[in-house]
Amino acid sequence: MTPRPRRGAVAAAALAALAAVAGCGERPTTHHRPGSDHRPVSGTVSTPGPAHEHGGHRTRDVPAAGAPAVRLEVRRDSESGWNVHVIAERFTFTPESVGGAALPGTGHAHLYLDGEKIARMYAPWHHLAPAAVPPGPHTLTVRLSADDHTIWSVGGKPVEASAPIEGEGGGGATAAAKADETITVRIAGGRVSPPPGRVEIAKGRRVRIEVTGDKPDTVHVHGFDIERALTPGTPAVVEFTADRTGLFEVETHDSRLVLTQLVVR
Amino acid sequence: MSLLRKLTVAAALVLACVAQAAPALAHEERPVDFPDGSGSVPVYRTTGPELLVCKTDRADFERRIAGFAPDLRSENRRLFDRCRKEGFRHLQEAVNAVKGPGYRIKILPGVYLEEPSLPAPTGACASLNARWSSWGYQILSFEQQRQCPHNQNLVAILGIRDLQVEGTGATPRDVIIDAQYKKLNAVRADMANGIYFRNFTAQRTTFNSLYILATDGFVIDRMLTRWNDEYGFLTFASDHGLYTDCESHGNGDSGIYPGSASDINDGRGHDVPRYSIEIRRCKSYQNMVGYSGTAGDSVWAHDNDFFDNIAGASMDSLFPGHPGLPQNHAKFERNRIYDNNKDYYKYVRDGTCAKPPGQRGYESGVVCPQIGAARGVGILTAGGNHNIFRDNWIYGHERAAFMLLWAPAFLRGEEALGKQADTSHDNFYGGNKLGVAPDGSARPNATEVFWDGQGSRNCFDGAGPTSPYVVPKCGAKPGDLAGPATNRLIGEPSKMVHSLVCAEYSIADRRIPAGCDWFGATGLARVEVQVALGTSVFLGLVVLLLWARRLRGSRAGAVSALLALAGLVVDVFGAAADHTLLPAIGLLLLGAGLTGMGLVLRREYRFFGGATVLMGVLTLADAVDKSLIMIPWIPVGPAWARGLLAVVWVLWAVVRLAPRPRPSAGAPASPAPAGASA
Repeated sequence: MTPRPRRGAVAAAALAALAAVAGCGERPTTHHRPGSDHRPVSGTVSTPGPAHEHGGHRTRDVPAAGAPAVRLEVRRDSESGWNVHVIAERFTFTPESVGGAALPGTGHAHLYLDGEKIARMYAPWHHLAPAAVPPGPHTLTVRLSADDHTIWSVGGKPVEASAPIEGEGGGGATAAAKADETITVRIAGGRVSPPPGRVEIAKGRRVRIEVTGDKPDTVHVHGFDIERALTPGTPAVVEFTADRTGLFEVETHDSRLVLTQLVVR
Repeated sequence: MSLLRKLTVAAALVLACVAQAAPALAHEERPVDFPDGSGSVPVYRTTGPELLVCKTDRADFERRIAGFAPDLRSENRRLFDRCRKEGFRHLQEAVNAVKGPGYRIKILPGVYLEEPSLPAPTGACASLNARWSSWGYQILSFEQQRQCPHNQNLVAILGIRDLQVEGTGATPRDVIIDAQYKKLNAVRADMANGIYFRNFTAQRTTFNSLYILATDGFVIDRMLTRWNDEYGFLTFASDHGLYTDCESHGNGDSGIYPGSASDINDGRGHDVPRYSIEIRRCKSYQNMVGYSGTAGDSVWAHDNDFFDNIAGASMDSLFPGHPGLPQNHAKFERNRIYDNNKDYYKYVRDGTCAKPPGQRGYESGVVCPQIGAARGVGILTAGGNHNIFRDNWIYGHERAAFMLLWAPAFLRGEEALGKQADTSHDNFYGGNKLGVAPDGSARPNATEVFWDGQGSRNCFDGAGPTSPYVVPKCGAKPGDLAGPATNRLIGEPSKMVHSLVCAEYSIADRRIPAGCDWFGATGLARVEVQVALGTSVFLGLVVLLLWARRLRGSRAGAVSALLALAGLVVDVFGAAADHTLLPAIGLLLLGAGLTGMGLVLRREYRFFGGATVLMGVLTLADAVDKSLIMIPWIPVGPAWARGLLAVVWVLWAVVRLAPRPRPSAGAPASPAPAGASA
């Protein structure tokens, strides 16, 4: 009866009509209309493992079920060098968020030649130039890394894959010739031969360690933080310049054998 | 008055969508009221029970404190030794150990992921009886937050009084609470009167890093927040607050959000006894906006730096659910607001923002703007009263130093007719240093003001270009104007259309309006130019037909039609540059032309000719309004009256243009030989 409700009704009707005409959607009921996806990340990851492992990068454990997995293929390029293919499962390359938080199943890959990091990979394919691989046999390893550069791992062991690669321009002898000291170690049945001892090396000398084992393992030179995957029957070669003084152990990760001790003076 | 009201309502309805245009920002939360205001701003304490939080890896700790000054390093070592024996490993554990008011928690250098808080809710917490918001989370009551503190929060401080939480590092970056995008909030202080946060970082959430709610008395001191979907610091429905020396960046909404600050000065003029929240010496950059506040009432922001955002600062009255609407009594003084021109919309276009939050790359500079903010603006007010902006340095903006828009009350859920125009009034934009950096170098803003013309007693600085071309100038102090005030109920039509188009932005739908210059439209692509072009072509056609059919015999009629056509052409160019005299020149030509045409037409068509003259006069008035002085006293701009009359006039012209029956042989010749064109 009073004009007020009528006016209100007119206004309401006009509002509805106008909203429809303008196509501007619903008036927000409380706040600004929903924006981007705000869903928190799900899945569990552990805190990073201790430092100084695995080439300076900490590991970050995930449960074995659902953990990412990786394979590595190395193909010769028809022109030069090699094409490296990282086949990762349950893993997405997320180059845009590198440096960000460790989110399960995401990140990038680190590529190592004989345990020395040579590239960060933001996609499954990578071209390796001939100069990147010195002459002789080497081991190429890929590890999956989180955005925060921790290495994804299961039970403390990095999610990784290795493949042999042969540098152009000569065999192992050439490489060996460059080394000032060559240490050859053989592991069989859990025994190390020659028995572990100390090798004295002058600072600045080039050291080459060749390890042959009968089980898959990882060779680790402490202090220099160099690692090599050990494949049964194939010598794992570690070559480096002893540029710091001290006592450094060379050991295997899984079997926890001390192979030798380097005394650099 | 009846017509006026109808006009108001119509315009208000058109603005129904504008709400979504301006950066009015918030979150969905349980209904809360203001605290009673009986508290006070807490003071930093060195007394009271002390709890320590640290990690146990000494080597890591030593590395973190290696660069500290000797005194600080030894103090941290002392605390570390104690903490390893008697301290906590997670901040939440220490919070849970607080037995009463007055505790202090010291967090030692390290990164705190708060692992015990991370597992997904189980049991009763997985099935709480609470409404789901459209954002995808539940609106929990305070009791439910207490029952399940980690459903949404990494660290929850609920109902604890006078707690002080501080990092013991050299900078906030030495102590990091990292939510890793696994929680809505990194730290939530809810009904925690007297809370004092100092010297640490909170980061990486899908909503807010530091959230203070319904709290009387809080301090945010030397804190850093970064990389959030929405806000760095969010304080809501709180009083007696102080942000000091804080820093925030990388937020999809704003770095600093003092929304619904206690509305203690409602109903007062410019003289107020106190402010509810003070924000000083803070830096907010690389966000959608540096500062924002729906119902950011009685906030005193001074000596801050807001830069490298899409827009510098905003406040508004656009959304319901905020106690204290409409927004009022913000005071901005001595802030440096500059270079807010970032185009973060590119990350919406290229799909980056459609990825899950943690994969967008916030850490490397990606910002996903949650709503469409006006790019290149220093301070934006979308519905606010009695705000004071003075003594600020505002420079280097590609659009405007100040933007002021109307926000009709129904947008915030109040549909009483009398309230529709209760913003934006009494805003004082005076005595600022515009286009000049503090070192005195010239860093001009493209324009100083972008205003839709609505509201009463608003005033502006005005040495540089403004849109509209003339604006009311400020007097010496807030409340004083240098000339007559304007009192308009609704904004300029072209600016409302512009807002309507820009409002269509949606990050969720990856919809970026092509016609809105905020998102990069230029030239003919801009909606205001398209509307002007369409209108000019249409009116031009009518003018041409009138000349051809009714004015051909009259030299004055031909000259007038030519003037009108020239005016319509200029008007198109003026639409893209309404901070210049072009629109006024266009209107002057058009007004003169229409007046002339009307006078000639009156000879034959008394009333239609008269209506044409009236169109011309209103257009001339619009020209005056846009060049000499914004005409005071009138409740709507001349553009509205002109636009409405134009609808009638065009229809009338169509009737008058219809072919007439041939005059009989004996009839006298008409002054305009219409038959010639047949």
